[in-house]
Amino acid sequence: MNSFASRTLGLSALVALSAFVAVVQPQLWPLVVLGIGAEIGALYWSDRRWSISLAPLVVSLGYAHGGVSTALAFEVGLLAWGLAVAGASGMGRVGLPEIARSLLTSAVALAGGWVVVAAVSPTSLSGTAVSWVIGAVAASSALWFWFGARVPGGSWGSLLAAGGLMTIFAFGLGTVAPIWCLALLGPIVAGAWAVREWRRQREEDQAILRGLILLVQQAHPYTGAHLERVAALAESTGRNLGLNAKRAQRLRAAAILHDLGKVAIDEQILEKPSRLTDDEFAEIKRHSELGAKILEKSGLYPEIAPWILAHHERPDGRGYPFGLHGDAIPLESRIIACVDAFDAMVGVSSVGGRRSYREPVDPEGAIQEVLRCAGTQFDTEVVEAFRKAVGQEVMA
Amino acid sequence: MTELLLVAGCAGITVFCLWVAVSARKRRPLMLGRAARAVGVAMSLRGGLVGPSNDEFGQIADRIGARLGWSEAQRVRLANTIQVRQIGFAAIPYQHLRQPHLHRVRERAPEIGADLLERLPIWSQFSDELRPTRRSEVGQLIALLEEFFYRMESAPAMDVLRQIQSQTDDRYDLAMREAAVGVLQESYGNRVARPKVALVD
Ligand SMILES: [Fe+2]
Ligand SMILES: [Fe+2]
Repeated sequence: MNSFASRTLGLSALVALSAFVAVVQPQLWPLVVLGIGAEIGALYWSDRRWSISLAPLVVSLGYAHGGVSTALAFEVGLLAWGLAVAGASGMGRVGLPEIARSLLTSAVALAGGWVVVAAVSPTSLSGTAVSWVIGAVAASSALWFWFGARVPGGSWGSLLAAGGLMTIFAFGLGTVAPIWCLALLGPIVAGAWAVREWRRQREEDQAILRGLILLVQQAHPYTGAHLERVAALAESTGRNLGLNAKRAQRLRAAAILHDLGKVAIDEQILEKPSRLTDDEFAEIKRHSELGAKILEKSGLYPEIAPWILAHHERPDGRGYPFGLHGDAIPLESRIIACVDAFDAMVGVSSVGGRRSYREPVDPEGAIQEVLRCAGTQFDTEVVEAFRKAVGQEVMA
Repeated sequence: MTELLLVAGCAGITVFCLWVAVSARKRRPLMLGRAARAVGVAMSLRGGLVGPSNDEFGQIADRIGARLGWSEAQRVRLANTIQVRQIGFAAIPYQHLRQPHLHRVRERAPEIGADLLERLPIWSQFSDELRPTRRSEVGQLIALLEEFFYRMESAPAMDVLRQIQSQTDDRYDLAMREAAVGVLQESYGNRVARPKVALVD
C-alpha cells in the first residue's frame, strides 16, 4: 500500500472514529487524543514495535471507560493512525503481520488482565490501584526494552507482558475521569524518544566496530575475517560461563578488536610462509600491546584494553607479554585465547589469507587439540564452556 | 488523590525517559570522536616516521579554526577529519610506508582513504574532505597543513610559509591562508628544518 493510500485510509478511519466517539461516548475525547498522540509519538520517534505495544494500553483504557464497543473503536482507530502516520512519514508500512499481532496482543492482554484482576480481588475491578500504575508502566516498558530487544522471540512475550500489565492498571485508571489519562502521554512520547536514541547509540557502536574491522581487513585480510568469526563464539562461551548480557556484549567487542594491534605490524611477517626468526616472532608478539595502546590512547572502550593486552597469556605462565599465571589473567582474556586458538587452527579465509605457518585442521581435530591443552595453555573451565558453545554453534 | 499519584508517577517516568534520551544523545558525538582518535592512533603506529603527531597537528589546526571564527561544530569536524585522514595507510603495504624513498606511495593515502571512508556510514561524511576536488574549508586547511609540515622537513619554516603565501592558484581560500600562515609563523617561525621523528610512544 503506498503512502497516499494509507494516509487516506487512516484519515477516513479517524473521521469515523471521532464520529463514533462524539455520538456514543462524548466524554472520552481525552482517550482519542491519547491514542493519536501515542501513535504519532511512536511512529515519528521510535518504531513500530513500540507503537504496537501501546495499542493494548489505549484499548484497555477504552474498555475501562466505555466498554467493549469503545475498545474496538479504539483498536481500529489506532491501527488506521498507524497506517496513516507510517505512510505520511515514510517510515515504512504497517503490514498485516503487525496488525494481526496488535489485535492478538490486545485481545489476549485484555482477557488476561481481566482474569487476573477478577481472581486477585473481584472488588477492585474498579478499584484505585494507582500504585500499580507507576509500577506497571515502568515494568512493562522495561520488559519491552530489555527483553524484547535481547531475547530471541522476546518481543512477543514482552508485548504480551506489557499489554497485560497495562490492562491491569487500566482498571485502576477506570476510576478516574478520562481526562487524567492524558498524563500518560508524557511517558509514552518520552519513552519513544528514549528508545530511538538508545537504538541509534547501539547502531553507532556497531558501526564503530565495523569500521575498525575494515581497518584491519585492509591491512591484513586474514585477520579481518578471523576477528569476525571469533566474536560470536567468544560471546556464547562467555554466556555459558554465566556472564550477564552487558559483560557478554563487552566481551564480544573485545573479541572483535583483540588483534587490532596487527594493523601496525608488518603483514609480510604475519604472512611469512617459512619459519619465523626470533626477532620476527618478537615483532608479532607486540600486537597485543599495540591493540591495548590504541584503545587506551584514544579513550575508546578503555575497559577492554586490559583484556586485549592479556589475550596471549596462558594459565601455566608461559604466555606473553607478562607471563601471568591462572586467575591473574582476566577471564575475558582467557576466553578470547581459547576461541582465538581454535579459530587459528580451523580458519581459512576466502580472501586467500590463510594463516601462514600451519595447514588448517578440521573442527573436530581442533576441538581435541584445545581439550588437550586445557589446564596448560587454556583455562579448564573456559574450555568446558567453549566446547558447549561450539556444540550450540553446530546445532544452529 | 488518585489523580495526583497518577500525574506524579507519569512525570517521574517522563523525566527518567528524557534523561535516557539526552544522555544517549550526548554520548554519541563523544564516541565518534574517540573512534576517530582510535583510527588516528592506529594509523600513526602503522605509518611510522612522519611530521607532527596527530595531537600537535590537531592543536595547530584548531587554533587556525578559532582565528577564522569557525563554529564549534566545524571545529569538531576538523578534529575528527584530522584523526581519520590517514586511514588510507591501512591499505598501503607496511614496508612501503616505512621507507622514505617510497614517499610517492604515501601520497596516494588520501585518495585510498577517501574510498575507504566512503564505505563506512559513520565516517563517510569525511570522505570528500580528503579529495582535492571536493573538499570544504576543513579539507583545505588540512591539506595546507600537510603541505607545510611536509615541506618543512627539508626547508626552514619561514621559507615554506613565504612560498605558501605567494601561491597564485586558488588551492586555498585566501582568508584561510592568511590565518594559517599567521598561526604557523607564531608556532614554527624560528624552526630551521624539522627533523623526522619516530611517532607515538
Ligand atoms: Fe592475537
Ligand atoms: Fe587472534
